[in-house]
Amino acid sequence: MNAIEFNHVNKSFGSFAIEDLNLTVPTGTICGLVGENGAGKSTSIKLLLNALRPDSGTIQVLGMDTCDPAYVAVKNDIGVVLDDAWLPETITAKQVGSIMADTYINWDSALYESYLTRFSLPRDKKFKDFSRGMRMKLSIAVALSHDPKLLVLDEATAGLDPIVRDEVVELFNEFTREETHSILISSHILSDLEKLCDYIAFIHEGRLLFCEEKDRLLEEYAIFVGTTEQADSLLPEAIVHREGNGLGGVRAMVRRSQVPATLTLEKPTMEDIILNLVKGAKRS
Amino acid sequence: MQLVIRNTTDQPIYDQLCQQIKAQIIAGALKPGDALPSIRGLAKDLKISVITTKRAYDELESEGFLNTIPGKGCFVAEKDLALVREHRLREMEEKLTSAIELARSCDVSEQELLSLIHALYEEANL
Amino acid sequence: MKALLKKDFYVLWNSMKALLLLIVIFSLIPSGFQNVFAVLYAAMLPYSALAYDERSHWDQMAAAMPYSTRDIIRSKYVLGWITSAGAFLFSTMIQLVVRSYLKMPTPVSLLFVSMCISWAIIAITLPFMFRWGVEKARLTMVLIIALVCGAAGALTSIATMSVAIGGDKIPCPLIVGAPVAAIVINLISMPLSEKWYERRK
Repeated sequence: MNAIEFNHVNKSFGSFAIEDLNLTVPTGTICGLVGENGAGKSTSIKLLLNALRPDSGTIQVLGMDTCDPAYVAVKNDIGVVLDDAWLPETITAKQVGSIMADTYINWDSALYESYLTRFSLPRDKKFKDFSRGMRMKLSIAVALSHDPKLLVLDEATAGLDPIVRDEVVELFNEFTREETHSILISSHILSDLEKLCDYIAFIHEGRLLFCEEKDRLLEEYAIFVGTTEQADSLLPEAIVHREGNGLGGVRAMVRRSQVPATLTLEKPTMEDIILNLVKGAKRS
Repeated sequence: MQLVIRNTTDQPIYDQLCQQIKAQIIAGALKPGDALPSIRGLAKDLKISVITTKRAYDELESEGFLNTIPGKGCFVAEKDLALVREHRLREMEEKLTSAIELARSCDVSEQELLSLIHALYEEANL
Repeated sequence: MKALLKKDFYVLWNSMKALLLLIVIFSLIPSGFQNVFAVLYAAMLPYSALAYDERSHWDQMAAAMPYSTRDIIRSKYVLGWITSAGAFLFSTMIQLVVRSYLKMPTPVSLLFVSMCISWAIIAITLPFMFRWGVEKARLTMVLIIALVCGAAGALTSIATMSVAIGGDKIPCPLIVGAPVAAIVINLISMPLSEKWYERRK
């Protein structure tokens, strides 16, 4: 079964459009959604929460069509952290807990309390005085405290300092120890996605360029560093993107399968792969 | 069971997993019938992808090192280890033979080759 | 629904305290008509709540939580009904206490009609808010203020007349007609709001 399924989804407003989006997140896996600002990540997330309706195509979440009136009940099983949307800021963490207890069927007050303690969040302070990191932590505490099966995280690690970010990434990793649990996470901090994800989906200008298993991507691509002559001798289709340094040196991302095995290659990071694919896509 | 996954090497993660588990089965550190951690548990402990872990287990199973009993988990298979060892010895002989051929082709003496093997062995032990 | 109302009460708690204080102060003023303003002001509280919601993009978060569109819409109506009714009841109580000391009559029926007008204002203006949002619906805001002031003016003149006739005598058809009209307008308004809100998706 799949946790999330986009089937030929189209949605346009003004100059921006999501075109023929097909994306599947199998149950039990973590899928990272990558793309530039305005590429369509947030729109896709709003579509799957039914905050926006597709012009055409269907979206299924946890086996239910998002346009089905019964989808509202499915949201009990979805934990959500959105980038810039939250409760009005004149309330306290304690009041948030009380509101959520009346919102979610499975709300676990004790668990919520334990997250507040763990994240050292003050209970009686209006959260307009919270830093961005503290707000994110409060959102994450809410998202995890109602026994969700699916987490939808839009830039959930943004604004967190490295130590807290690591802790949060670990929490998400633990969450999927249960095989019925899945995560869709969008982030532009690619190193977080590299640590966490099973799949990487890459959206560019409203279209899904690929959705690949992360380790396959890391195996398929490699970084070549050498002279211009060496680079010129490679098959043109082997090179995704190359950049010269003006002094006869070249750094290029290549497909491992299409270059000679004797060539010395470096292991790419997820950031290398995404950046080179974006630049490669722009050039063509 | 001891597993160390390196992100810096060129060796794919599934392959690292495969080789290390295989080595421990052959060395006898893992005995036939021993339970292996669940795919999901191992992936989360090692902080690697579930799919990659499954790929490693699938490969070990297809090579006959593991048995999966549905609903119970993965276990080290009963395998004729003597046969595996035999197989490996033959592979080693083949590789050494080609090494000797290479040595002859560029005038490396037997003594030099042996000391090279000795040096490499020491290095690998570190 | 309960969660949504709770949220708005937490958010508006300071505004509500201010309103209660205002009612107490108004009640001390001899003419007694000022409480009409307080009751009508209560009709503005849902807009306050909507403005807070909008500033924190709550609508997007609410869409992610198990609330139906119907609950999201209706909670704002219910909030308005409760705050107006609360302002009416509190005004009446305080006035009865304070003014019995001062030996002055309390214009209960006048306050009651104010509450009905509050409900009607909510019903007339909320659909516009749900269609365009508080920020963009500035014109609607002008309409609300005009309605509030107009209603207050009208009521005050009716009351002055009735006081001239003698005591708390609002024409009977108004006392029966006002709540009926308010309920009818609300029943028409709610489905309209839902339809317009859905269109934003």
